Amino acid sequence: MNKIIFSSELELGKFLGSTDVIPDAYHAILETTLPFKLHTNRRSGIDVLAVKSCSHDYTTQFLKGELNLVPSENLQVDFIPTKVKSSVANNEADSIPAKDKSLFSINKAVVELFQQLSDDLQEEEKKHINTPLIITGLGLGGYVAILSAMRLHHAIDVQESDGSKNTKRPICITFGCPLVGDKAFKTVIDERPQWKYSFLNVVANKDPVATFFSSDPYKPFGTFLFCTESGGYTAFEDEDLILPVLNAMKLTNPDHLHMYDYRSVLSTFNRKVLYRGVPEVGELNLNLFNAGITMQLREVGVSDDMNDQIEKMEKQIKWSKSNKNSYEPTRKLNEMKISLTYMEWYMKTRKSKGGYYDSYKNDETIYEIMCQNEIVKHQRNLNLYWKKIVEDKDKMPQKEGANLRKRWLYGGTNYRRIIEPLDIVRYYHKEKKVNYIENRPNHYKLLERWADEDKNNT
Amino acid sequence: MEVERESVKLLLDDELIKAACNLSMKAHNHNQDYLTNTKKHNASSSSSTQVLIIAFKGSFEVDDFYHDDHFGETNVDCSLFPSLRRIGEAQLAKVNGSILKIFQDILNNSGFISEVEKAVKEDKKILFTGHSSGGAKASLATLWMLDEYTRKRKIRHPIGCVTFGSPLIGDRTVSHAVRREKWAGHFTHFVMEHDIVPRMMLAPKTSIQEHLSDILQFFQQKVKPNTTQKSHKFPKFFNKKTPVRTVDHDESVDDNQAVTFFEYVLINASTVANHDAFDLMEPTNSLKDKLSADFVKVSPYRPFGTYVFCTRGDDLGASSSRQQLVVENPNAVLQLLFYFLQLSNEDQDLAKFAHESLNANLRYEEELNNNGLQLVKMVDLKHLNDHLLTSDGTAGDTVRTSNKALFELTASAKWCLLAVEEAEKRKLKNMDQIKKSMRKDKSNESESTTKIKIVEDMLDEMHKYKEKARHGTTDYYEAFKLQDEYVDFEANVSRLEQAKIWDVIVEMEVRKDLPDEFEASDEVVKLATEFRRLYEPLDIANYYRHSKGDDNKGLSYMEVRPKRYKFTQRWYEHTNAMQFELLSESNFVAEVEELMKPRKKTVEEARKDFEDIKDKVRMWKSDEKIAYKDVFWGESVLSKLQEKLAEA
Repeated sequence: MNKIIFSSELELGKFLGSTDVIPDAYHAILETTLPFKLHTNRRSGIDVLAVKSCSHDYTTQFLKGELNLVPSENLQVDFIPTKVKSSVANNEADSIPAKDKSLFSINKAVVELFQQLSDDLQEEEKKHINTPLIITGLGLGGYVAILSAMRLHHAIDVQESDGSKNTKRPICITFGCPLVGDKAFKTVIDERPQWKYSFLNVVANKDPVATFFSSDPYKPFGTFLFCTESGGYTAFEDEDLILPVLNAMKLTNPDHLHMYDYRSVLSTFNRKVLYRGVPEVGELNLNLFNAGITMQLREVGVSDDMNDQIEKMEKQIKWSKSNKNSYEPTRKLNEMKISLTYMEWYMKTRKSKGGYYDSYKNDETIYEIMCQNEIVKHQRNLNLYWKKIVEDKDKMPQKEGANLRKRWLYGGTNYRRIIEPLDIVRYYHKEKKVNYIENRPNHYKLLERWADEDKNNT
Repeated sequence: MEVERESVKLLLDDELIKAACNLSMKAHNHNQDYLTNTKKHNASSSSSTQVLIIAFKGSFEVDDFYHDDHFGETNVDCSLFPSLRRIGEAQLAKVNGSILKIFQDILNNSGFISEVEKAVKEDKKILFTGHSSGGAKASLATLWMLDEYTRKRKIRHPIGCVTFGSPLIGDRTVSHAVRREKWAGHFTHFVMEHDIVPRMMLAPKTSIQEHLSDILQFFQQKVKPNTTQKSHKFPKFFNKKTPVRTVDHDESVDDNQAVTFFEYVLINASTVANHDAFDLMEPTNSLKDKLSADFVKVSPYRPFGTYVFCTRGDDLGASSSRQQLVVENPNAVLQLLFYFLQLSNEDQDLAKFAHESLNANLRYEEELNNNGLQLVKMVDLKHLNDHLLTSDGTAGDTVRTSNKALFELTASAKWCLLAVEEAEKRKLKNMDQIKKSMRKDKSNESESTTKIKIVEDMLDEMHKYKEKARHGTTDYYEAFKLQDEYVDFEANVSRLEQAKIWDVIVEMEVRKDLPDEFEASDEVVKLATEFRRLYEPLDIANYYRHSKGDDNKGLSYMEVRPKRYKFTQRWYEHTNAMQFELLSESNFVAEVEELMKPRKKTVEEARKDFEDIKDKVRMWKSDEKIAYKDVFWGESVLSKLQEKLAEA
C-alpha cells in the first residue's frame, strides 16, 4: 500500500505558535537582571529558570570567531561522559590510549559560561526534579540553559533508575542560541530518548548569533523553530534541513555585530493562526510531504532548492516506517519467554542423559542434532535480545539499589545461567577457541556485576 | 440467546427539525428547565407516528459553562452513564461539570423522568433538543437515555437528539464511547460555519473570562426578547415577530470585547486542532507530548455525534445556495471547527467578523426556516476527500462549487482532513490484522498460513489438553503445574503464543490504534472470553508454580494479573451490561491459591472465603452465558483447600 506521508512538523510549528509557552519564556528572560533568575509565571504557575545573554564583549568576541571547538574533557562535569569508555575503545585497533580520547567537542563558550554559573544553577535544578521546569536562555545564555537542562535530565535519570515515578522532565527553550557542538555531542543527546525531544531552539532569520555556525563540524539537535519578522514561523527537526536553513539565513544577514531582540517576532506569534494565509499555488497532490516542507521553507523566507534533502528525508521516514513496528518490543518480550521455555525444557529432558551441557557438547545422534538446531536458534535469539538490552541499559546512569532494574534483572540472571554454559560449549568445542574468561562477552559481565550489586543492596 | 443491542435511531425530517429549532428557541423564554411538544412523525412507516420533542433551555451565567478556572471538566457520573468510559482501561470519561450538575438537578427535581417514562409507555418517539447550552443538556439527556433504556433496560425505543450551536461537553473518551456503541447517528449537531459558541469550550476560562460574562449577557438578551433586562435596548412595543435577531452590531458588546473574545477562542481552537492533527500524522518528535503533559493545558473537549455544518455556499447571497456539509468523524469535525472560523486574510475586518461569529449563534431558526434540513443536498465529507487535492480547473467542478467552504480551505487544512482519514484506515488495518490472527481465513487456506499461530486453533488444542490431562487422574491445572510431560511443555508454549497476540492487542487499545468499535465487537469479545476462561488458569498455575521459591515478595496473582485478562474480562462484562467485578470465573483459582498460603488469614476467615468462593462457583455454573467446557472449575485446588481446612 502506498502510504501518504505528512509533514507533521507543519502542525508542530502551528501548535508551538498558538501556545503561550514561548512568549512566556522570553518574557522571563527580559525580566531577568542577574545572570539568571527563577520566575513563576503568574498565569500558568509554571517555573521558568531564565538565563540572560552573556556580556556584550563576550558575544562580540564570539562573533569575531575567536571561540572554537574544544575537546569534551575541558568540560569538567559528571552528568555526561566526556571521555570514550575503555571497554568500547578496546575493540578498536587504535594507537591512542583509550582513556585519553575525548568523546565529543563543544564550543569553548559553553565551557567558560557554564562553569561560571554551574553551582548556583544546580541549586535551582535540584528543586525541580519532581516539578515541571522550563529552562530558557538568550543568545550564548542558551549554552548555559542547555547544559543545565542536561544536568537536570541526568539527575532525573538517576531518580528514575531508583524507582521514582514522580519525576517531571524539564523543557529547554533557547532564543538565538548558536549550535553547540559536533556530531558526537549531538549523539550524546539523541541516544537518550527522554532528553532528545526536550530541546527547543527559537531562531530568528536576522539573528547573527543564532546563525553563526551553520555547517560541519557543528551539528544541530532538538527541535528548531525558525521565525521571521514578517510573522512566519515553522518547526524543523531534521539536521539535513536545519543546517541549510541556518546557512541560507546566515548568508542574507548583514555582517554587523548586534544582539537580536526577539520581542517583535514574538509579539505577533499567536495572531497568525487567526488567518488562513495566502492560498498556495501549484500542484499539491503530487507529493504531500514535499509540498509540506516546501511550504514550511517558504514560510520562513528560504527559497533555496532543497529537493535533494527532502527526498532523502522522505526516504528515511519511509524506511523507518516499514522497518519499525512499534509493537515489536511487546511481541519480542513474549518471544523471548518462549525461547527460554524451550531452553528450560531442553535442560529438563537432558537431565537423565547427563545434563544439557554434555548433551549439547556431544551431538552424536541425528535426533540430538535436530533438537540442537532448534535450541541453537533460541539461543541465538536470546543472545541478540539481551546484548541489545544490556547495551541500552548501560547508557543509563548506574546507581546502587535500583528498583526499576529488578524486574528485568531477574530475567537477565535467568538467561545468563541457562545460556552462558551453552555459549561456553560452543566457544571451546565448536569454535575451538581458548581462554573464555578473558574473552567473555561484555553483556554477561555486566549482567553478573549488576546482579551482584543488586544482591549486596538487599 | 443473542441479545439485540443495537439502539433505534429516530429518523429526522425537515418538519421535525424546524419544530425542534423553534421549540429550542422558545424554551429560553420559559421558567421551566425544558418545554415539550408532540409532533406527528412523517419520516417513518412504523406503527408509532408521534414524536415527543423535549427542548432544554439554555443557561447564560459564566458558572453554567466553567465551574473552575480552566476547562471545567469533571469525571462523569458512572451510575448515570456507565458506558461513557474506555472499557479495557476502565477509564472514565470527562464531561463539562456545570452542565452535568444542571442535568443531574433536572433528573432529580423535575418531572423529567416521568415525562420520558410516559412517552415510552405511550410509544411516542423521543427527540431531545436545545440551542446553545440547552443543546449541551439535550446531548447529556440523550446519552443518559441510551444507557438507561437501550443498554440497561434493553428497551429499544427510538431516540434522537438535535442541537443548534451547542458548546462541546465531552472529552475524547465520550467521543470514543459514542462511536463504540454506534450511537453517533443519534446526534445531529447543527453548527453555523462561523458560530463562536461550538468553539468556546476549546478555550480555558482564564483566557476569555474578561468579557465572557458580558458576552453571555448579550446572548441572553437576544434569545429572551420578552424578559426585561436593565440593558435591554428594544422598546417593548416591538412585535414578537420583529426580527431583532438580525441586528448585526449590538452595543452591549463593543468591538474590543468581541475581538478579544474571538481571538482567544480561535487561538485556543488552533492549539487543540494542531495538537490532534500532529498526532494523526504519525510523528516521531515527542516535544508536543512533553509540552501538553506538563506545560500547556489543552482543552479536553472533543466533538461527538454527527455534525452538520451550515456553510455560506455561494457568495451571491441567494439563500438557496447555502450548503450543508455532514461530517461524522469527530477528528474531522474538530479540524473544521477551527479552520472554518479562520479569517481568510489580514485585510478582512476583524471586528466585523468577530461580531458576525457571535451573531451566527442566533441564526439557526432563520437558517432552517429558509433552508431546512437539506437531506438531498447534504454532502458527506467522506465522499469528498478524494477530490480535496485536485487543483482548480480540473475535473470535479460540480463537487467543488457545491462545497465551496470546504474547497476554499488552505492546503494544510485539507492535509489535516486527509490525515484524519489515513489514521482511520490505519486503525482498520490493525483490526484486520488482528482478526486474521484470530480466525483462519477460509478463502486463502491454501496459502502457507501454517507458520502463524491462529488463536482459534490454539483454543481447540487447549480444549483437547484440558480434557485429556493425565487421562483423568488429575486436571489440566495440576498437570500444567507439574510440567512433567511434553504436552505440558506444549501448553506452556501455547500460553506464551497467546500472550504474544493478546498483549499486542491490549497495547494497541491503550495507544488508541484500534477502531473505537473494537472493544465491543461481538466476534472479538466472544473469542477473548473463551481465551480468558481457558488460559488464565494456566497463567495462575504458572505463577504459583514459580512463586514457591518466593521470589515475588509475597504478591498475589491478582496484584500482578496480566492486562490481557483484565481487559478481556471488562470487555465481556461491558457487552453483557454487567458490573465490573474483581473475582471472576476465570481467576477465582488464584484466590484459592492465596488461601492455601500459610499465615495469611485465620482459619475462620479462610473457611468463610472458601464458602464464598464455592457459592460464586455455583452461581457461575448455572450462568447460561458461561459455556461449561470453557471454564476450569478448580476441582483439584478446591479439594486440596478443603482438605487443608479440615486438618486445621
